[in-house]
Amino acid sequence: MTTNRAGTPLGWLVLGARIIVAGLFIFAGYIKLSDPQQFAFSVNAFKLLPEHLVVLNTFVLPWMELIAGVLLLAGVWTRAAAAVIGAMLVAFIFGIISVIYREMDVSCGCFGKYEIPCKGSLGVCHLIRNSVLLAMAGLVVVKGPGPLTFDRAKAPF
Amino acid sequence: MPLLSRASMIILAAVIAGGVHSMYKPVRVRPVDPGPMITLPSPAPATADGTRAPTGDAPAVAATPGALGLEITVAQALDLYNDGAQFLDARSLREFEAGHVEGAFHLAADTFNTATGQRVVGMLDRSQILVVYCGGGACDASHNLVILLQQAGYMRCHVMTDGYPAWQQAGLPVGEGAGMMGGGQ
Repeated sequence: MTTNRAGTPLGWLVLGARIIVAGLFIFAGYIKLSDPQQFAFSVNAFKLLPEHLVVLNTFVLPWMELIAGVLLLAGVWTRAAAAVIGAMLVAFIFGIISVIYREMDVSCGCFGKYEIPCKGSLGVCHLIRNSVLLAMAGLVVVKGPGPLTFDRAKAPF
Repeated sequence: MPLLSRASMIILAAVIAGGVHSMYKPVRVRPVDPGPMITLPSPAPATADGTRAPTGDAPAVAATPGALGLEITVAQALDLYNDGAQFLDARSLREFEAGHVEGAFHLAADTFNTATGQRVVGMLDRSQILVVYCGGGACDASHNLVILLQQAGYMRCHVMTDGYPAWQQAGLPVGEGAGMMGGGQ
């Protein structure tokens, strides 16, 4: 049976998931932090949060993406970082469902002006993308960090 | 250390970093309403039959004279248009090309900081009255653009709340096509 030890197929699968998810979240956080005003517009467009929470979210969310992404990539507190990213993805999915349900024409703002890989307004493509990323983050939470991690030197939690 | 404790510490670190960051780079989600900025001119002299003389070939929309706030009606926008205010179309370029207020510049919030956007901004005068519009209704584009303009020092901004559809329905002057990216005609 496949295990999550370094060098096993599942281990490398987990590492691949870490790299993909972490890379996207580091990029997303960096893009948002480079122009917080534009991201504030994106958050406000969802019409889900009051003004003060939009401002709070504008700064906290990208930093959370960046910090969790770096930890996930580096293999430090890997499962916790994946859990935080998973929680963010669940929130994003609910936000997208809300936008689709209300038939709003809202652009993602996920990666600034870049559309990876979904183009145009929020829709099913964004739901599928985030669901795939959520599955990858979930894999790390459930199976552990895989190879190339600092967590391995310590007792797993 | 439990998973939840570590996750909580990651979130706490993000809250602290975000809080510090917000102090150095404040953002706005609503334009500053500077209160009444200008006073519209008195109505045109009444004609013999007691009605207001039309402004050019403009249809029969009339503004109540007085102070204007941030949000203005189509009728008030028309008075500013006739007084030479610069109109800015905050919708997408595709929508702008399909039809816009005659003489308007295209300047969207998401292209504000691009070279093209800054070229348009460079053509504006800070002392000039700017009227910004988008698609009316629930569209945020005009308010977002006003926030960016205000941050750049353009404080004499108004938002034509009902947007281009209301302007067009009123039969007011419209143009089509891109012209130059920064010019309506």
